[in-house]
Amino acid sequence: MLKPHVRILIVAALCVAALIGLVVREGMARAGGQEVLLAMQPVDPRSLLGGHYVIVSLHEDIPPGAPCPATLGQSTPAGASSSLPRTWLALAPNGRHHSVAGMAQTRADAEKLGPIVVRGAAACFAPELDPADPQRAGFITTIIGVDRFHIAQAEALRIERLLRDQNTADAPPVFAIVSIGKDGRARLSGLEAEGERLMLDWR
Amino acid sequence: MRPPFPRFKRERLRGAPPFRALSLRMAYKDKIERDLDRWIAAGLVEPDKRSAILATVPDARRLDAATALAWVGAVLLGVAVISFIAANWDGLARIARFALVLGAFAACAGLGAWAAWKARPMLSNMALTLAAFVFAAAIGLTGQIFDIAGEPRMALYMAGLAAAALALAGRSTGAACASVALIMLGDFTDRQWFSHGAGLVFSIYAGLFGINLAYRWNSSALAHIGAAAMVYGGALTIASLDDPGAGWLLFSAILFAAGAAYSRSRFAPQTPVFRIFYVWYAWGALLFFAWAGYLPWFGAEDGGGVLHRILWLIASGGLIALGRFDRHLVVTAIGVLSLIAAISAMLSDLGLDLMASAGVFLLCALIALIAGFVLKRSKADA
Repeated sequence: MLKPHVRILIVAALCVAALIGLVVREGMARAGGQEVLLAMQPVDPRSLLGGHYVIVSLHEDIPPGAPCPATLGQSTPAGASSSLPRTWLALAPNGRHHSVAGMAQTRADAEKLGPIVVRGAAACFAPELDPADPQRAGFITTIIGVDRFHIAQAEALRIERLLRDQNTADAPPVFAIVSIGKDGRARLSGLEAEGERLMLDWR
Repeated sequence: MRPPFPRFKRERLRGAPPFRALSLRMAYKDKIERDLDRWIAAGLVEPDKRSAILATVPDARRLDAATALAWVGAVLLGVAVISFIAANWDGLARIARFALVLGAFAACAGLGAWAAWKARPMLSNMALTLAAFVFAAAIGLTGQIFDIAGEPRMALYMAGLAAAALALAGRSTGAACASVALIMLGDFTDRQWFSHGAGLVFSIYAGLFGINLAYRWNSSALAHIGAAAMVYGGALTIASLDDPGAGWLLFSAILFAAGAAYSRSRFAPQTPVFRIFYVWYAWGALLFFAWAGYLPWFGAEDGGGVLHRILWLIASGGLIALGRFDRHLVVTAIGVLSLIAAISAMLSDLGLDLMASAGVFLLCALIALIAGFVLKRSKADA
């Protein structure tokens, strides 16, 4: 039987190794995944106790009168609010960035809807075409388990200001840079603001 | 007739940890001193024996000023270091932040190992408890530093497992308590109630782990949190069911009542943890039974009705009687509270007007006050 202090050191070493292993594994999965850009919207308020970060709320406007993807409902499925929903999303290229093309219960079904698939859920809200307000646009909200980007306070505040100022008629100036791994999980790689890429690295 | 539960202050003193033993010893010596003066005044003890008798009770070790200042200095130094790191957190590279987090955990665990090596169980216990919480924080901070998206529940379960491993490695009751608490918190986090997606409940397993170690290590703190985790886990499991009927709740109530009866039968000075289990299981049994009355009751859609309320009243009264018989104040108090709740439920069922309700509540309040007065008197007499 090992002595208590030896046992404690072994357990502590295993805990440290597990954390290092997690970081290395996630880093490799992020580096090996397929990069996509997804549109974001500003969210208030920020948590004051959670550190400095930008809330990544994936939200894309759809043109006035344009229909929602057929497989998306007006609310996300039950359980989709958790950090990793059980349904699958299909993403399709849309200019510089990617948009949600549809949602399915299985990966195989999602692959029929778009070239890139990711674990997640989405909902689409398309208002009835109103002659008095023909420019009234619908939007798609997306949950893929990516919800915040931790960054220095000054940078976080600058990006939030950009997000608030973005004009919905133009292309959104801030994108989430997301890596889609072979396992179908989305991992945040960074943000693109005004053409500048703020990437997650060791520095 | 079964004798009442023995009181065992001396036995508890022997097995208690140093700080607890210190305060118990001081209180014990003060009490002996007061009793001696009373016995001398009554002529039961010779005045010249006073000093000799008191000399048999060792003096409590007092914390000297230098040691107290050293502790204050150490705490302030810790606060200064944490503040300095927090002020410069943004300026640190991610790898440096990660190294800091790992270093803090390694330092706590290392201190625990060193204390275990030097046969200082209390210091080892404290350091390992701290290490358990630092590791839980380290998981969260690592996720933050590297923006690793994950499930908060899973992070808490992993932290609980690590705390359990530390507890078993260093025989740390504090780390074991932390383990049970973290797993209970994990069960609560991101839970979808009354739906298929609620997921498994691990608090019951954590509770079994806690009560097993509480029995082996004779730890009151672990006994409390382990037994509480059993009640909490049972409640969460039933709340996670799609359509929880009264059957599951009655089954749980019977299980907890059996647990309370077993704990009561096992109570002895050498196994004081059973006294704690007795309280929690009795409370759990009444809780589940009361809850059962508000769910479909074996086919009837409107709950248990009058039959349930009468059984509830009888069970509450029985527990009060048992608590009085066992001289267990907390069990008696639980019975009184349950009785008040049962009467209130009955009132609500009958839809009595406000004046009648006021009268019944006044009666309940009087019963509770009289019960409290009697309990206090019996404690003072003892």
